[in-house]
Amino acid sequence: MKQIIYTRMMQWKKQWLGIVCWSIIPLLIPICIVLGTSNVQDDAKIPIGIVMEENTSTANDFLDEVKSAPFIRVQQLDKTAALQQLEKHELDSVFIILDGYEEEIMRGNRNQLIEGYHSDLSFAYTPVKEMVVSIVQQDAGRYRAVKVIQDIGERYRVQEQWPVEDMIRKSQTIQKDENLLRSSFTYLGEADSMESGELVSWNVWGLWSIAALLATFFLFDWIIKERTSGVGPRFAFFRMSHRAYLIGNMFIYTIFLGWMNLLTMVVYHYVLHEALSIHLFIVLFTFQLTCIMTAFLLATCFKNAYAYFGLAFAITFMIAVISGAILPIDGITGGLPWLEKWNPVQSVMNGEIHYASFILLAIGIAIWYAGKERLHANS
Amino acid sequence: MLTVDHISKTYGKHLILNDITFQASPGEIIGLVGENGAGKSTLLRILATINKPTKGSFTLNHLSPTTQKKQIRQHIGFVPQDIAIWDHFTVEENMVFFEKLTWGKKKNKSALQAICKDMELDKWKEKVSTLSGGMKRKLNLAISLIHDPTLILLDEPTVGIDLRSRTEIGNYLRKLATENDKIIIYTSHDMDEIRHICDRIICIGEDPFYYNLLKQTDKEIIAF
Repeated sequence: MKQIIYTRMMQWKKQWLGIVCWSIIPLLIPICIVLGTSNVQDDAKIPIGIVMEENTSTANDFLDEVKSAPFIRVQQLDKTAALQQLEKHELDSVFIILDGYEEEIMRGNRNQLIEGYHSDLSFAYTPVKEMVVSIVQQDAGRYRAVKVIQDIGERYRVQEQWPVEDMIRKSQTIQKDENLLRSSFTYLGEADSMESGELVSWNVWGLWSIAALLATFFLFDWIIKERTSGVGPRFAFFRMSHRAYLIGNMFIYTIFLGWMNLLTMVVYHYVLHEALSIHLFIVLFTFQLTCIMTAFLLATCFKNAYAYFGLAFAITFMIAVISGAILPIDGITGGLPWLEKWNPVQSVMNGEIHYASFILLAIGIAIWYAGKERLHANS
Repeated sequence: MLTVDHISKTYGKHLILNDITFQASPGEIIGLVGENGAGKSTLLRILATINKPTKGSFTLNHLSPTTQKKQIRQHIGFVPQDIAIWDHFTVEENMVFFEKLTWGKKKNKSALQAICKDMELDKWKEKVSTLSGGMKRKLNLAISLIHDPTLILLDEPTVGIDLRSRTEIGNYLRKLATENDKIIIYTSHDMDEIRHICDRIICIGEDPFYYNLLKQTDKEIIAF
């Protein structure tokens, strides 16, 4: 094995640029996509200004509710600055929460609580205004419900008195828990992605697995290059067979890519706030092994590197489509559960260890290794 | 001592080699000649233990390829017709790379360089892709000699190279056989080279052209 490591290092020394590129690409692609789309999404949000004339909990709740809307970017300003920015068209519209907002809401009054300003270039004023009005109505309705409960309590002389704040909080909790219009999904223990207000939510490990699959195919083109170099027949006179040499090299690549998986996990933890766990490492490493064995077996079947790359692209594209890692297409795999079972990318996305293809490929490698080497063929 | 005993080879119904028998002693160079497809390369591949004969067998220093394939291969240096070296490596890197994988005692860089110098391959630090065809052929041969084999099998080692490199390779093989007691079996279409280098000549195939061409020489000719 020492000899194989030494000779592989000699080869890597000559091909270091390609090796570095293809081993770092899977790490970088998801970071670029996630951070890139996040920035684009922020820039694409409608900028609005909010002026708070009073600082009460109801007014602050209103502000938080507006901020949580996915399509708008809220700036809290004073009235003069907000209107100046509106005049310069830096803001699409401005809403002023008037003094006495909480008092009026508690009285059940929902009119004349907020002033809205827009310019002749405000293209989203109407929908934003409707959203603001709906939040005001929601708050007013909540206090009206509290009033009704208090009236019922008085009518039936209920001894226990519930504080208004408790009833409001309870109402908000029920609304959040019973929200049927917006459901949240989480992958691999990451933070609730829908809560973040992102328009597009990427599955980071889904993106990584697609990039890792393609990169592994490209990293394993050495098999074709070395097989077509004519050096193969020399192995009959070496201390190891050509197949043992190839398997030994595959092992070196496995160790190297295993370390890259670990590095990827750590980088994603700090950059994309992904979870770190041993289970996740096993999931990623099993997937990586599946990719390595696929690339290995495929490369041993090809003499032409371009044909191999063509098939590698086709396989990666097909897996990317059916797994929904880039385009979420639930319809395809929904009807074909076996496809999910055999798709290693799907397992990574689900945070599961992939067994099906892994075992099949391991058997394939064992059969390949046990088979007759053409060089040694006893014809 | 190499003893080839009634070797025949057929591919399907096609008889390629018919009852080849000869012996070769250390220090001897044997030339294999014959038309294309006569079976020269097949015989070399059988002697290299890459292919199996249909009938017959051979032994090298009393080692049999059927029962002691691994041991016998340690005594064989096979120089393939196609140049089997790394183009992106230097001469030095090629020698070191193959030395790591080959049989036998470890050789240091100066020992490896000495092999190259003996055959006048002095561009030790140069990248193979910049070398001439003759230099590449020399390196192709040098790699096969790293493990110091007893039997050296060369499949058209001088094809497509200039007269100077051809002469240098020929002289080196002559020196290798006489000074180091190697058995060398050599295929070529160049009759002058065969007459000049070889001690004995084996003509393979039904075509008498090569036999007639060589019978004027003082070398022993065996026809199969």
